Amino acid sequence: MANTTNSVSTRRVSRRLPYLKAFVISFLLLIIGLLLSTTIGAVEGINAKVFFLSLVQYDGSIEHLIMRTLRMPRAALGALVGANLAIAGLLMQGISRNPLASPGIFGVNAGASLFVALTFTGVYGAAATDASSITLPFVGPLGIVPVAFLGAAFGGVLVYFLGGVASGRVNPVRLVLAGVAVSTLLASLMKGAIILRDDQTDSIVFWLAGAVDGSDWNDVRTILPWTIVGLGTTVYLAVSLNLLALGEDVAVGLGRNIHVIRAIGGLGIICVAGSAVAVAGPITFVGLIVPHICRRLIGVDHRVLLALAPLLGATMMVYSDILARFIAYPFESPAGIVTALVGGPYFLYLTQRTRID
Amino acid sequence: MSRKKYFFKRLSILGLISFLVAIPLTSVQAGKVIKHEMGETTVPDNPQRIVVLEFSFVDALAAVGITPVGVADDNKGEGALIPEIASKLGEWTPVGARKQPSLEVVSSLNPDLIIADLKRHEAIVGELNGIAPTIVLRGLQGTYEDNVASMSVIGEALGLSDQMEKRIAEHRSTIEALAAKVPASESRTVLPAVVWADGFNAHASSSYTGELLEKIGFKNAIQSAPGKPYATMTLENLIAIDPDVIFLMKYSDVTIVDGWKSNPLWNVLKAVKNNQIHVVRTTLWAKFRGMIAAEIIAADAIKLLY
Repeated sequence: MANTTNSVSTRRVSRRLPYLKAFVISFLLLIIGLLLSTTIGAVEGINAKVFFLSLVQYDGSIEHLIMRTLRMPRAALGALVGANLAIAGLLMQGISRNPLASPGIFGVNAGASLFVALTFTGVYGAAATDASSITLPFVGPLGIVPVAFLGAAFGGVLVYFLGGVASGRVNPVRLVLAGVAVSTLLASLMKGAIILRDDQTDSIVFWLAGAVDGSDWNDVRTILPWTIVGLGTTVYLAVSLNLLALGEDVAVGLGRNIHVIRAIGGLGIICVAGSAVAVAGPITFVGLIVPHICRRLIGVDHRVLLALAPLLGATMMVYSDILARFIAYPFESPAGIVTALVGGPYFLYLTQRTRID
Repeated sequence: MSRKKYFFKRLSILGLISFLVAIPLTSVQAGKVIKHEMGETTVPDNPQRIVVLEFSFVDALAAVGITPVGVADDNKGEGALIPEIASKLGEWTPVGARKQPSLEVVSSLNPDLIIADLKRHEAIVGELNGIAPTIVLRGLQGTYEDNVASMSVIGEALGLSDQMEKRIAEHRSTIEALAAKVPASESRTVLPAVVWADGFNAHASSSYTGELLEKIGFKNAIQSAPGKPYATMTLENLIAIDPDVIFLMKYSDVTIVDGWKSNPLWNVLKAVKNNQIHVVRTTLWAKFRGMIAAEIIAADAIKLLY
C-alpha cells in the first residue's frame, strides 16, 4: 500500500506541471484574454465595467450593445475556433501517431476552404453569396458548414491515402509530404477559382488568412455544437489514443480496433476543423502547436490533454485576434497572420526535432 | 604595306562601329520614347491598334475619341463598361480578364501599342513587350491625381498630346464647376465603401474615389496617409467613425451590410438616421477611375446629396 502511494507520488513529481496548476493558469490566461478582447476596440471607453454591467444590468446603451452584439461574440468565436483547431490537432496527432499532424498541414483546412471558396466565388453558378443557402448542382441547397465538412473530408482523406496510412506503412515524413503536396494543389485550385471572379478577390484574400473580426452570435451558434461533438470524440477516444501511442501492435493486442479508432477520430476532425473553417477561414498552426505545448506542460495522457488542449487553443486564438487588431489599428487585419507568425517558426523547430526513420 | 593594311583594318572597324551606332538612332527616329512606371519604351508616332488592359485606360482613349482594338473586359463584354463610355467606342475585341489577359488574343490583334497596369501586369510586361511596345501606368492603384497624370502620358503615347491636354483642361474646369455647386459651408463627412458578402472596405481620403470627392468639397470620414487608401472595417469601426454620408459600391447582391441592418447598433449611425446611405453604380465608382468616370461620379454625388 505504501509502495503504491510512493510510486504515484514519484510519477507526479516527474510530471512537468501539476494538472491543477496547468489548468488554473490556462484558465486565468483565457479569462484575461477574453476581458482584453472585449475591452480593446475602435470605440473607446468600453472597459471591464461595461463588460460586467452589460451582463448583470443591461440597459441597451450603445456601449452595452457594442459589448453584447459585437465584442462578446467575437471573443467567444475566437475561443471556440481556437478550441476546435486544438482538438483537431490533438486528434490528428493521436490517430496518425505523427507529431507534425494538424489540419493546416494535412490538407483538411485547404480542402474545406477550397470547397467554401468554390461555392462563394460562384463557380457553381451561385451569383449571390448568401451564406445560408448555397445551391449545388445535384445536391440542392447547402449551408456553408456542410460544404466545409465535405471539403475537409476530401482534403483529409486524400492525404490519408497518399501518405500511406491506409496501407499500414506510416512514415511521418511521407505523410507530411503528401499533406504539403495536397494542400498546395488544393490552394492553387482555389486561386484558379478566385481568378475567375475578379470582383471579390480582396474579400477572399482576407478570408484566406482566417479571421474572426466580423462575427456575430450566429457564427457562435454555428460552431458551438461541433465543438461539443469534438470534445465528445476526444473523451470517447482518450484511452484508445493512449494505447495507440504505445504502438499499433499494443493497441491491437489490447483489443482495440485501429480502423474504428481512426474512422471515429477522422469524423471528429472533419467536424471541428470544417466548422472552424466555415466561420473563420483556414487559420493555420493553432492545431499544430497547441497539442505540443500541452504535452510539454502536463505529459502525454490524452484523458488530461483533451481538456487542456482546447483551453490553450482558445487562449492562443483569443490573444492572436487581439494582436491582429494592432497591425492596422483601428482597422482590421486577419488574426490568421498572427497565428502564422507565431506558429511558422515553431513548425520549423518541430521538423528539426522529428527524427526521420 | 603592313602599316597600310593596319590603317584599313582600323577604318573598317570604325565604319562598323558607326554603322552599329546608327541602327538604334534610325529606329528612334521612327517613334518616340515614352517614360512610364517601368522605364522607357519606344512607341510608334501614331499608333493605330491599341490594346488596353485596365478600365481607366479605356476611359482615357474614349476621352480623345479613340477606340482600342482590344480591351481586357473581364469576359463581360459591353456590360463591363459604363454605358457613357461604351457608347463612345466603335468595335473592339475582348482580350480576357484584366487580372489575366489572354496573350494569344492580344498578339492576334497585331497591336502597335499596349497599355498595361502597374499592379496587375508587372509580371507579364516582358511577354507584352514581345508582342508590341508596352507602357505601364498606374490605373488600378493610383489616386485621382495619379490617374489624371497617366492621361497625359497616354496622350503623348497616342501622339495626341494637344488633344489630350485640351481634354484634361476641360476636365479640370468641369470638376471646378461641380465643386462650385457644393456650398463652402458643407461640413458633412462622406465614406465611399466597397461591400461584399462578408466584408466592408472603406475608400479613405487617399483613395481614388476619396480624393475625387474631396476635390469637389466632400471631406472623407477617414483621413488616410498616402499609400494607405483602403480600410477593412467592422460595424464597430463604422460606429466609431460615424460618417454623415455613406456611398455603397456593392460587389454582390447580398452584402455584409444586410447582416448589420438587423443589429440595433445600425440605427445609431448618423447616415442611417438621416437616410444618407446611397447605393451607387459599382462599375462606375469602383472600377473606371478615369476622367469621364470622374465627371459622372462627381455629378452623381452632388445629385444624391442636394
